[in-house]
Amino acid sequence: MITKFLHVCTTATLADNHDQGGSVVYPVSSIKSIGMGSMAVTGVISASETVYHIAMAPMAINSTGAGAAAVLGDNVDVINVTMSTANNAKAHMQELIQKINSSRKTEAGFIDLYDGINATALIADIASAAVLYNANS
Amino acid sequence: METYLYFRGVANLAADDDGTAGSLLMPLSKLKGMTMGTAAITGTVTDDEDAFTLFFEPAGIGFDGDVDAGDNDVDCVIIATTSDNTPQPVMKAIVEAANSHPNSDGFITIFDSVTGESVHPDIEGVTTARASND
Repeated sequence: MITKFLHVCTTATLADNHDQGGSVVYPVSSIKSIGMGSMAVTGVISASETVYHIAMAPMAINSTGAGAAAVLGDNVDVINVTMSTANNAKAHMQELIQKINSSRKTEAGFIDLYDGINATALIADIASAAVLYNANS
Repeated sequence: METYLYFRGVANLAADDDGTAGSLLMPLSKLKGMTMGTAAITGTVTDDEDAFTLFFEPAGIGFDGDVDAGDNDVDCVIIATTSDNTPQPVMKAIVEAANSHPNSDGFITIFDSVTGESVHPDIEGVTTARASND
């Protein structure tokens, strides 16, 4: 079974592809949910006609961690996706899930959701994306 | 079948003796993500034009022991690249290599400085940062 991963590069500036504001990759198994509105790392959702969020298990926090900075252990990483078309999240969700569950042998598991530098997007209606990343202390 | 990713970044075989760049085998299922830049086990990312970081569930932290400040830490594998600001092809190559079974035995060499094996020619080195529980 193929292990699939989502790639997002939020910046459109090549020289800025040097930290978590540049290329990030998450296993699709880290997706906790996808929903309308813009989400903060605390899980608070702000209404938006054009933004949906993909809540992710945080990549840089031990999933069994209970350290002194445990409050951070409650946070999630988030990919907030901005659509060109308002209220169009269902179509995006369907297309993304079809890609995640596709079994075409020509696909090797790397799903390029959005790349600002190369101006590519899995779904043509994606205008931009933002990644909210958590350190663990 | 469980797939494992192998990394080695030491200068020669005799130097393959520690947790800094010596042989490291991590289960693909423990890969939590990748980010551009050089990260510490705390998740703090330092800008880096020619390196990106793979995060794994920490092998050196168990469960239910003393609560220590470092219990949220993760293991890191830092991949150094020849090219600046273009990790995408290398990240993609790692994912494709990880999914190369059933045509492989599940042992995927991402980079081995001793034998010269690499999943992508742009990789020039590997270092690791390992979390511990005390």
